Amino acid sequence: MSAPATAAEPRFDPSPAHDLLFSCSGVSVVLSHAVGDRKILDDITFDVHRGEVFTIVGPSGTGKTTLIRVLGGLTPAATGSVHINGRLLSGPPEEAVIVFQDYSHALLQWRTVARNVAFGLEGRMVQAEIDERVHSAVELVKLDKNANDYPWQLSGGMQQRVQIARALAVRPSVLLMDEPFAALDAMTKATLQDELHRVRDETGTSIIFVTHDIEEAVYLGDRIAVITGSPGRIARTFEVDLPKPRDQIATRQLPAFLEFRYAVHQAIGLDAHA
Amino acid sequence: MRAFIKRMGPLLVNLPPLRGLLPLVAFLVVWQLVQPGPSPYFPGPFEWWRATLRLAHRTDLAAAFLSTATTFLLGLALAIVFGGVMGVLIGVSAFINRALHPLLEFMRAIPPPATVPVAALLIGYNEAMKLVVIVLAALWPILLNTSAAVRQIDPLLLDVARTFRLRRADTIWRITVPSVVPALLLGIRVAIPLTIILALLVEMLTSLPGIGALMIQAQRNFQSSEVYALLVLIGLFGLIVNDAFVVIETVILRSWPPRVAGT
Amino acid sequence: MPSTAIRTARINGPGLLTIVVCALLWEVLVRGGVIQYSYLPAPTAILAGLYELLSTGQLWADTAHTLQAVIMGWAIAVATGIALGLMLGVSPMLRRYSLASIEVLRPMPGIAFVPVALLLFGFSLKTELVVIVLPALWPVLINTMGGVAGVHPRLFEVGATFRLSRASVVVKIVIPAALPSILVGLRLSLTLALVLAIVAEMVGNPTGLGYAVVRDQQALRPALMFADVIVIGILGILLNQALMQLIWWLFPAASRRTRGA
Repeated sequence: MSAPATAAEPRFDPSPAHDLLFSCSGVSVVLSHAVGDRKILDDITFDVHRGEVFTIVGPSGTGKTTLIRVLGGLTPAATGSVHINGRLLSGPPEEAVIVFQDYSHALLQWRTVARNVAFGLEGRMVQAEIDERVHSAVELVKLDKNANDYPWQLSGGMQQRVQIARALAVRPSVLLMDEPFAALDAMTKATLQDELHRVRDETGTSIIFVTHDIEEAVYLGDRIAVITGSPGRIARTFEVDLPKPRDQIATRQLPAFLEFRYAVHQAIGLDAHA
Repeated sequence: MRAFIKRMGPLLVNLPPLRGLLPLVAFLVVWQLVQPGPSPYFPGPFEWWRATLRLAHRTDLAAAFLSTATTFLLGLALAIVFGGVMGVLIGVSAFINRALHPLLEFMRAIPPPATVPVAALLIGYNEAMKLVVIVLAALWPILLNTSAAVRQIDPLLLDVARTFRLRRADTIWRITVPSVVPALLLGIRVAIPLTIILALLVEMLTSLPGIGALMIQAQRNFQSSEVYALLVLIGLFGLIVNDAFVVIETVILRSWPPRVAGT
Repeated sequence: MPSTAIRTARINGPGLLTIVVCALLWEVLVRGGVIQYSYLPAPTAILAGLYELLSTGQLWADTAHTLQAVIMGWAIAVATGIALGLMLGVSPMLRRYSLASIEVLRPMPGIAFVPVALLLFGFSLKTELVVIVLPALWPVLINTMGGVAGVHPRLFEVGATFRLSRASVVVKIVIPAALPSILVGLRLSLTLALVLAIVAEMVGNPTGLGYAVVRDQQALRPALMFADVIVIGILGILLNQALMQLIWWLFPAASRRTRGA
């Protein structure tokens, strides 16, 4: 099935005209340790719109992973609220699926690619429909020839594509991606970045993408949020007004690209901490 | 003294939470309430205590216990020495290893209890037989573990030895032996329960002096309380031996990186 | 150079030679009257004894009984061990309230249960089962618990992000992930079950291969006794191989991950 889903076709939407997908307001996260509480995130406020690629970039230790986990319902917010599709978030929402960085631990190594992709669908629909969705998801990430292989037989990039296919199979409104390409080599990373754009174009799924790679954030994003400091705070949010479709060589040479990159650098540097 | 306790502290931290004893204690309490007095099948726990006192008074309980314990320790010690030395020698020489490997695997496949009647027939019903059986049975896990560990020594370490131009004997003593200590300890850990079982088996089969002999005797006389009392005694013995070994192992392995310590 | 090394490695020359030499030496020394041990039979006599056992059908009866005890005891130990191991692995609270008890009971030598079992069940299969089940339970329980504890936390988060029910997480994630460890526990338990069955038959229930060894020893029939011991050894090897084959057949993916354990 290659007919692109229109942006106005999410799964659970009371008001189809709801353009706002995620809405974070004043979110902070506190983790308790034996030695006391530590604030990881502070006063996080931003919105994510339907159909956009929203990248969150910042140095390590700023709580980016924690933020994704909050959006994914795995970690509760200490203050503030998160709304998805106008609904208050409390636990993993149906519309979102997290794609993790360590694919080898996130995939079920004892299942074939096809059965991994089917994981989120089992028990929720008839087998025929599961097979159909698995087939189209696997095709979408160009792994149809590997459907019966085991993850450990595949390269890192391919395993990450399996994880993406597994997430897409449940037709989420948004993919929450936690530095998914950080463990891959530069060439695989580039290929997958373009694949991600293609997936978004073909399915209309929104993507919230966390990374510490500034160029990746600019290349991928329609909008960027820069997060810095400890506890992490959003320093700046801005639109990435680069032409589409993006190209690894051409886009990265544009003066505008360099300007955006500089802007992100600045936003991070402004909050320089010891 | 205080320094000693402070050193032992970290060892005690690894104890499981004491409230885990609840199921066991509850079980005994319920048993005592349901069946407090003597019975041919399920005498209550207090009866076990009375039976222990009777045993101590009537027979030489301490001597029997000592007999089992000393045979066990002696047998284990001999097995450690022989198993360790042979293990290193076999591991170091690839030729000897290939030559002896099938023979050793064959010997390993025979369940040790089956060797007891054989030993009884060949050696006779005496303490020597008991010792031979125990040593032979405890030998295999120690020997095999040690020789396997020798073969798995990181070749890099051997290169280090060559770089410093150490003699063969020096290499063995200063590199090989320390490297296989964790595996040796693991082999001993496997050998210990086997050794206890065999010591008791010999005593039960031959009525050579020991706790096992007392137990079988009590069973033949239908003295159920005594049987349970001795069961508890053996259990305590097994527990003490095991925990003592864990402490010793922890102390010895303090200098080793955590990952090689046996679980 | 490499190809010749591979070829000689397949047929372990020195190893085979050692065994043959030992057997020959043994035969010569006994037949030649050098070793006077009246109870040490020559290897050929042992083979004759094996043949005798096979032809009288005594061997089959003994083996069948021991096999029955081992398989039954092992099956009960496995079922109980996996059930308890899963429960304890999944619930830290249950672990806190039972780990110490397990640590106290675990070092108990299985043979100590023989007199108790005799008191309760006399000369019967039940006596053997009592002796086998409790000690054989521990490897399964501990390995299952360890396997569950070793499941990578990321897998639980995957279960959460796909909003799986608790039961689904256990069945689809925990059990398959813990399977290699559980299978190791099964193999350890089987070996232990055989040893315990033999012990139980030697000093407990007088039937089966364990009793056969004692019987032939006390009847002063050393050739038969040695033959019995060899049969026990072979039975152990066959049981282990059979289990490994079964595991490979049922769980090819997991047995690959268990390889070498």
